[in-house]
Amino acid sequence: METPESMQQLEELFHEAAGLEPQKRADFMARVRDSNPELAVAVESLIAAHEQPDSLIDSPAFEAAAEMIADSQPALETGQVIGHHQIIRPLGKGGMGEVYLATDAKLDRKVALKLLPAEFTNHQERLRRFIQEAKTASSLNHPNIITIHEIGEAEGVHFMTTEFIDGETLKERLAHTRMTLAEILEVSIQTANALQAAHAAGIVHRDIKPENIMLRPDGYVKVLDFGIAKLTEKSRPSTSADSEIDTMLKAHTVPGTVLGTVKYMSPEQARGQVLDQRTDVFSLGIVLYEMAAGRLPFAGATKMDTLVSILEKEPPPLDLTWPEVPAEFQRIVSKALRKDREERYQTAKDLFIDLKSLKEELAFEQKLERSKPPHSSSETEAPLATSQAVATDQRPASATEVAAPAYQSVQTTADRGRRVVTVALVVVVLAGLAIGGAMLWPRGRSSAVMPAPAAAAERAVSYWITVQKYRGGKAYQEPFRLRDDINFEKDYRIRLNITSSQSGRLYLLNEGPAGVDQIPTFNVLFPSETANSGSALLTESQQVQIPQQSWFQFDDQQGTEKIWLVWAAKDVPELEAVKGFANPKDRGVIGSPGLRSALNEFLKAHTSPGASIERNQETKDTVVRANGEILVHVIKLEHH
Amino acid sequence: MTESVKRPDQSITQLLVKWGSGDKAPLDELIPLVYDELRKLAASYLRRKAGPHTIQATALVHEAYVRLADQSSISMENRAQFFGLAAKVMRDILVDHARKRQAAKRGGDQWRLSLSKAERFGHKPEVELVALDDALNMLAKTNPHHSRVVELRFFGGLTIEETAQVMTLSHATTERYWSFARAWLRRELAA
Repeated sequence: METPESMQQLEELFHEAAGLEPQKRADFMARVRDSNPELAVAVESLIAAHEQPDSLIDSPAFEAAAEMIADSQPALETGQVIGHHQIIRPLGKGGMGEVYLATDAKLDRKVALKLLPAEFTNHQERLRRFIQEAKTASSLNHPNIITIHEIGEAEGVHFMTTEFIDGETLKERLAHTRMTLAEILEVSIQTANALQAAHAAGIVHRDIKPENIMLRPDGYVKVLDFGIAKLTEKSRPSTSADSEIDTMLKAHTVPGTVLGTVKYMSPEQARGQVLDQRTDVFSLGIVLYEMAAGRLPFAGATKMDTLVSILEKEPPPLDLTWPEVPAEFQRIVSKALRKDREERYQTAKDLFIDLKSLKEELAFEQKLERSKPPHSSSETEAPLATSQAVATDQRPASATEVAAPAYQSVQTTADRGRRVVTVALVVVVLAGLAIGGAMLWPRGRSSAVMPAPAAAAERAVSYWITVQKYRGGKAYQEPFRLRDDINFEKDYRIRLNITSSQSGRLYLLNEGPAGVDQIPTFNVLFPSETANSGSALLTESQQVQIPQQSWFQFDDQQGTEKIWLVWAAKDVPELEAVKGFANPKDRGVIGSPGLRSALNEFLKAHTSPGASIERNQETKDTVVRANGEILVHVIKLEHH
Repeated sequence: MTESVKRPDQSITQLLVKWGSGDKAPLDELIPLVYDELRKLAASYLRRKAGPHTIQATALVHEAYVRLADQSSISMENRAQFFGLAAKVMRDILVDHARKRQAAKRGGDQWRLSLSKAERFGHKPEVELVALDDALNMLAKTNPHHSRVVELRFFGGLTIEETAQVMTLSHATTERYWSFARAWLRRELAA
């Protein structure tokens, strides 16, 4: 760390040197070098910087400032008046545009006011189609479709007001709770009900996803944003079924599209084909699956991977994460998720009917169950303090509080048993026997309940390096796997692959040279906006590659790259604080001295003592295990 | 809300005068007023103009000054103080926004990263702004005056003379501070 004194000395020498003719300066610097070589280097670097033209600092004329500032605030402020509405407060940012709570002065009621971005409303035809669809849907007066009050223009902005719902979106609900079967059925039945009514009126939603499904505290479900897709969709020429995924991806990522996510798209939507009501059935199928499994059926590290998954892959069976899932529920979800729309539920109504029948059936079973003696189980009370760290996938203990007690208690019991088995199995897996076999663990479910082993509070993670050879700036040969403990060729491009049979939070930081304060700089490599959508959370067996779509390149100087890997059971506040820095364009650099030093201390303090590292010659895996809730390991990549 | 022509606010001028006479209390009232004005100005620029917006931060500061302060009853010292304050507020707004934007930005698919010598600064203003802000904070630890000179010049658009006035420094000293701080920051930003 430079002290005020050393800085003062530096400044004096700098001014003296800067004021000298080149020859005299060279002599002067030579003298400085003799007495203090380090200081001489510092002065020279400052002189060089002083003489270099153009830098940001020289342009107080900071252009585009207005845009930045205006963009940095909610567009509307409390008290502001839009037509006959007065803004109360922002409610959040919707899939498109900001939403505010406002008072409708004419009718003296609270409304939700959504701003429609100019980039869409400038397009008259799109605006017209949007208004038409949104109004038609609203005019159905369906209890599960949000009521639109007004679509208008005032004070230079286009806006839409709807009834105000004091609840949370399904997305928010899923973020903090695992839903019970009863809740899942309730939400999906009401959503399907909204869809069937809209479909009957000839309206396809096209953007069914958890953030468009609003849950009211009284149990009502309201589907939002009918017609919104009309506002943002670009007219695309219908392409052949096997059209390039690349092109399609581009089509979906044009700035401003409502499709911030491709996760809930139907295959036909992903292909850019003409859509009908069956696309909504598929999207609702995804939502159903997500509610039940706690994860998406088609997930990829990138949008591209997700799309490929939607088009090509079958989702993991629900009973993998939820062994007691009713077969009928699984059947319904599968049928909604058929890739070929001809094989899918042909209407939302059919889906609605099946969901409803299942609900009634379960209610009936529950009645029968009630007349039996109460179910008892001692093992539900077994302490499972460590389960959190190992299998966050379990359904919550609160599941016992739901409307279907008999059904749920059976599930909970079996579930807890499974958790314990999971703990045991994870340990076996981590012994390096079968990392790849981790997916098979539920098969061990029928074995007896074992006490949680002492080593259960353990973190384990596995990684390997993929290498792409480059010659003359071009890739050649297929990428291949390597272990991390070799000396890499400098023209190798590399990628890190990381997975674990546990779920947890993964953070990766590249340590760079120390700053003037002697504290290393760090680059956040994971998570980032493009890697795992900015979330550090990995589900069990999820595999990530970093970077996702390109490669790391070594610099010319031979040396060793230090990459810090943190694999934690819970969010790590020190790392959560910096993860926002990561995004490819900004190179994830953390500049702030305070943040860097906090990180540095955290990493030092948590570097796992006695961690075991096993490298597999065949699979090229490196498996690291450590006790405790946080595993910190340095991956050192030597290159020449 | 109506965009009527705004009259210079007498109370703001009084606050500035009070602040100028050594009373720190008006700052708490002044900062939000300046903050607010800058944002409204920026928003109204955007509404009025079509096409690329090239309005500069410093132009906003100047316009805010004209709109907020009553020219007839304000001294040169008060004027300098206003700019000193506005520079700080402008820095807050811009950097805060740049950080948010940086965090929210979606990345492209290409990511070629030279690990040890990660290229630190892109062409995106927000990236550079955040880096500059970090570097300024670091500089302020050992050289608070230098850091403040840059803040006034860069975020407030003040001349050396005006900067000297705000900081009650001589012209020569201000210039020396500026040239050293600029070299130091350039080196930091390029490192």
